[in-house]
Amino acid sequence: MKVIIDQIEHEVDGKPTILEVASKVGVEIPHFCYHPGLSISGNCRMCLVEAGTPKMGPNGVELDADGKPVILWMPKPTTACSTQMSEGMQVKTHKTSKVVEEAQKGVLEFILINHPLDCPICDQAGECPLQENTFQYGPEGSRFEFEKNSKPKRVELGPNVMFDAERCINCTRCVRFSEEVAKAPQLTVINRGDRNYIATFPGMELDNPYSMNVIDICPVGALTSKHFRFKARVWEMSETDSICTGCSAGCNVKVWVKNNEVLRVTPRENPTVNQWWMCDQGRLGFTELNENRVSGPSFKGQAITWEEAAAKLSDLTGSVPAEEIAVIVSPFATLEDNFAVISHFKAAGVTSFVRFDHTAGSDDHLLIKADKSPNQAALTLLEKKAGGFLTGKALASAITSGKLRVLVSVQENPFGGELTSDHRSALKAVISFSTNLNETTSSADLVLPAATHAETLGTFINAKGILQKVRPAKILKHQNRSLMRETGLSRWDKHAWKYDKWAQPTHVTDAKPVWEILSGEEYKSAEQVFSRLAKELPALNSVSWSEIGTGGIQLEPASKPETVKP
Amino acid sequence: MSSLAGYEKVILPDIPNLNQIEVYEKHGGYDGLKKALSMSQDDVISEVKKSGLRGRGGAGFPTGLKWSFMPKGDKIRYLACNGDEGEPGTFKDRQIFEFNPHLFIEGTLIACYAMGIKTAYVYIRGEYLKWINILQASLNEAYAKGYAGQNILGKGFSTDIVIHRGAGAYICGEESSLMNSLEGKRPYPRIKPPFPAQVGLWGQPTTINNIETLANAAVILRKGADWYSKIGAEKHPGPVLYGISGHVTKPGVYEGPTGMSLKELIYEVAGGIRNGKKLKAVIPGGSSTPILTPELVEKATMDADGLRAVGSSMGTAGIIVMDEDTDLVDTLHTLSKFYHHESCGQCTPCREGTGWLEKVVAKFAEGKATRQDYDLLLKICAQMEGRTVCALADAAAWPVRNTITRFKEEFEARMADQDKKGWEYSMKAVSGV
Amino acid sequence: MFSFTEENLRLIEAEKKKYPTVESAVMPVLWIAQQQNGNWLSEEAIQAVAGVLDLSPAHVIGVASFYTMYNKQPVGKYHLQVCSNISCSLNGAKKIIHHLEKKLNLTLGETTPDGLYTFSEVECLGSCGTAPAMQVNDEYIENLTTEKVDELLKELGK
Ligand SMILES: Cc1cc2nc3c(=O)[nH]c(=O)nc-3n(C[C@H](O)[C@H](O)[C@H](O)COP(=O)(O)O)c2cc1C
Ligand code: SF4
Ligand code: FES
Repeated sequence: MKVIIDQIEHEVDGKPTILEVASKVGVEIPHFCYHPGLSISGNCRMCLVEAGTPKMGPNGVELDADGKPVILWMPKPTTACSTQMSEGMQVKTHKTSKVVEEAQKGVLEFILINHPLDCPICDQAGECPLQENTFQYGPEGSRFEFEKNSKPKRVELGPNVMFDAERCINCTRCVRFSEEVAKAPQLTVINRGDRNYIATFPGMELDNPYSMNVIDICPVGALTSKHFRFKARVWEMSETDSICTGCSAGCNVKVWVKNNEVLRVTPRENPTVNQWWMCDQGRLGFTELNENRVSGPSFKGQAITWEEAAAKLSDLTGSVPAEEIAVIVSPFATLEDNFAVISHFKAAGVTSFVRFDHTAGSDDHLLIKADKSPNQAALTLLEKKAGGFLTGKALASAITSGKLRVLVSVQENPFGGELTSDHRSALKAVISFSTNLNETTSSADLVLPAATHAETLGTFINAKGILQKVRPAKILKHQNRSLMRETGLSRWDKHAWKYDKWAQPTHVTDAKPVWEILSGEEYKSAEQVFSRLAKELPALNSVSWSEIGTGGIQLEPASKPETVKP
Repeated sequence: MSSLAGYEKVILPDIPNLNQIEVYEKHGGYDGLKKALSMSQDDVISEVKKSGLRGRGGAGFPTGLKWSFMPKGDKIRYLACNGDEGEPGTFKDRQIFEFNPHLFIEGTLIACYAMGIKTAYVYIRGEYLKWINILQASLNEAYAKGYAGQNILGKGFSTDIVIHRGAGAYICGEESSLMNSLEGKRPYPRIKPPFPAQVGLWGQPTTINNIETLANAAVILRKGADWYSKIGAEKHPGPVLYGISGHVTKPGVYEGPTGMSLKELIYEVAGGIRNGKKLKAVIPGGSSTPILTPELVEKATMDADGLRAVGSSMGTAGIIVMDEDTDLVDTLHTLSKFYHHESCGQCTPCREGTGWLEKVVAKFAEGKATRQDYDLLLKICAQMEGRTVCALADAAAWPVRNTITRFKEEFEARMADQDKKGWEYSMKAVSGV
Repeated sequence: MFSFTEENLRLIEAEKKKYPTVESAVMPVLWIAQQQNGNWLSEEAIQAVAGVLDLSPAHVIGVASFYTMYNKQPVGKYHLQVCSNISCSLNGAKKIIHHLEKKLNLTLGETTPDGLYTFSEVECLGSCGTAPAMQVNDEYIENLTTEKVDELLKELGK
């Protein structure tokens, strides 16, 4: 059907609302309470527009003297978020209607009369729809001269979320999210009128696995993250599109970095993967990207150079026949890393490749998956190339029986569970490629620091068979050129100079992507590894690196059964 | 000549113990229901349409038309009977519960029959516990006699009537808030469309009618639409319960035809202004309707057209009379405080605007207001009117707008001294938005 | 701890049957809880309501806190609720309020130390024709004068 917004005609399908059409065709209609992932409440009144429908006469649409349809305008402005469009409907936004412009100013003035206006100390400043809408559509000042309402401040709603009732504008997005999406009705609005605010039941917490999404959807700074509060102004951080590696859901995220430290991770919209959401656990799993890192190669606890490390690696793997070497591949590493590992050791004659199982619990109603490893599906694709995988159990007994004597662990921690100190004593050598310090790095002979998913570029395949990219959000000590091009930059990264002491990178790790460690000069970039593997793996034959983009691509359904096989 | 001469009271007739079913039956009670059950459903709706009955809950919507919006078919449908009676100055539905409950029950049953409704919920404000008990007793009688419940009067039609007690919230009188309240949700009014006749209680088609409206429906079926439509104002006919309060000698609820002159109601029916005082102002239809000056009162008749002509409306026919000693600034403050207290808090303009209005009106009451404050009140009203989900925001803005414009001198007299100097001073200082 | 009496549990079952959804019974069940709990709703009482209706406690407190007649704090044996809206004010409600404030030595919203009276201001009670009016608990007392108030207090204080 045809509809007209601000005198421009658009062709639309279905029964969309005015706001849906407007955002699709790029007409901005300011709003607060509307969220595409939630039911419509129509309470903020920010999205008011004028709307009208063609007048129908006996012979269809009535025309005026100029041959244009006569429009019956609604007597009052209507909410764009809740009004469905119909054939021939006309809409005037603030661009063409004085009434709408005035209405927007009025609503914003009202919202602000009891709002504390504490933007200078508010985490939301810089990414605040209230700030932005006020700047663009608000009045120039306020005529309110009374004391503002006072309401509870610094309320700990739960382990992760802090609430400031004075900043709250009662849009009820958080309440609707908890009820409709998280299916955990832990929040409500209490009281009424301008005394109302959101709350949990006294003594109960907002502690569902998705609680922190309310922070993202809060259009003001009323709901903030306990972990991120006052850590940075949003404009000081770089934001990098990546994916969460907390489980096999592969939620799309933005990784926020200041001074090379990851300060927060927030969900990024992807309709087929995670819509607008992510779980708290995935969101808070970033500390290991900053802390407890393996930095620089070491041999028996002594720091060595990368060249020395390469030599040690071939010494140790050359000290026994290739059949006695086991290589643990990693569902936490990229497809490229795993491909490089398998290619490398296969060429050396290794036949025992191992993969661990990381399932725990069961899938929930929304995103959380039982399979806690993000790239199990990629290993499945590589299974044939590896000649099958041994399980953790099989590995343990083969070590005990003395069949396997050198162990290479890639981004896994076998001595953190699958293997014991008895196995360690039975092994001649242990080599660990690892991002973080753990039981395995402390008992390994050779430790090779690996880049985390926040420092590398590469692909993961989630439980639904969607191929997606992680992208570098922070830098490494010796950064590969191909990574540098992709690394997110903040304003400071671009403009600070070397004497700006607050703009100096911290948490710089001496690590490399595993493919780079193993391939030497063979590959210059993850992209090259990918082109190679895409040629080799039938499921990826038709996939090109660039088309993966930031949204990912669904692999051929044919590959799906493969990916779900344990 | 008095308009009441020869007028036959039908809603609140002077019959003792009419709340007892035997007495009610003796006086033609449930004849309307019997008649309705002998007619087709559509004919009942046509009869109500023909009568010209308009809702008595405040909005004055034609009742027959409202009933005809209900979809046919086997979808479950509901009737919600609105006995929330929260509008200040309104105290009439309670008289029906007390003195003629069966008339309301009969009207409800007729409405249910006409629209094919199997359950009616009567929403009664929580404070009216006494009248809830009276109605429940009458309802039990009606069930016992086979007027309500299964297979009514052996005609194969069944309807249950359930009383639901409110708990102190004016907004629950607004029909969509009432529905959310009944459903056990927070009683926020709903966005329209969809209208209740499509999506109402529990998602089903629903009609909402005021208690007095339903009582009138029983009268229409008993006496016939022709008889009914000849009573009172031609375009807004029928008997109506005038609730007269404030500074009159004999306040109370009086039944009369629509279209009576406001003057007659005040000076004859209610005995005139108390203590021989002069009249200052009248609110003709409950607190939300625009206030009238004595000059306008002279001209006003109590029907939709008559009151539109003087820039007001019929509302609930709750007439609030104020004598010459009334402090209108204080009175307006009372109302602004009320709307502030009762805003559900959902819509920004109402949640914030009602509080702001109250604060600025309070400034007038304290004698601290300025010219800017006067302008500001009008601007706040303009920013609230027609911008919200329900009409409470308008109901809060109108008394302010009308009182300060129609009684401007009184508000000017309450401005702080330096501001009595005139408009120039203020215009300079106003920062326009 | 609050738990519903057997009798009230039966009443609750009857209330549930009146509506097509269980959630709809929340208001009647809150009334029952308030009555059992001495005319106010404690947190435990609200939780019990949520429990019998299988609703989230957050939702139930959201509903209960909206309405003024569900008391969120203990109230005295006699809850004096004086209307101060328009018709009552025109007829001297303010005078009644001041009189009560003085007599009981209370400000609005307070309870006497002996727990006998709670004194509140309420919106229009629908007694505009018999103004000024107040409710003592659920009972209407109308056409108030200061003398009538004195008499009432004498009666209640016995
Ligand atoms: C804020 C507000 C409060 C209302 N309160 C009542 C009320 O207490 N009783 C009532 O019958 N209608 C009330 N109404 C009107 C109802 O929404 C509705 O129009 C009416 O019940 C329909 O019945 P009728 O068509 O029989 O008049 C109120 C409306 C608004 C906007
Ligand atoms: S206008 Fe006021 S009372 Fe009505 S829905 Fe909006 S906030 Fe609630
Ligand atoms: S976005 Fe439409 S009313 Fe809030």
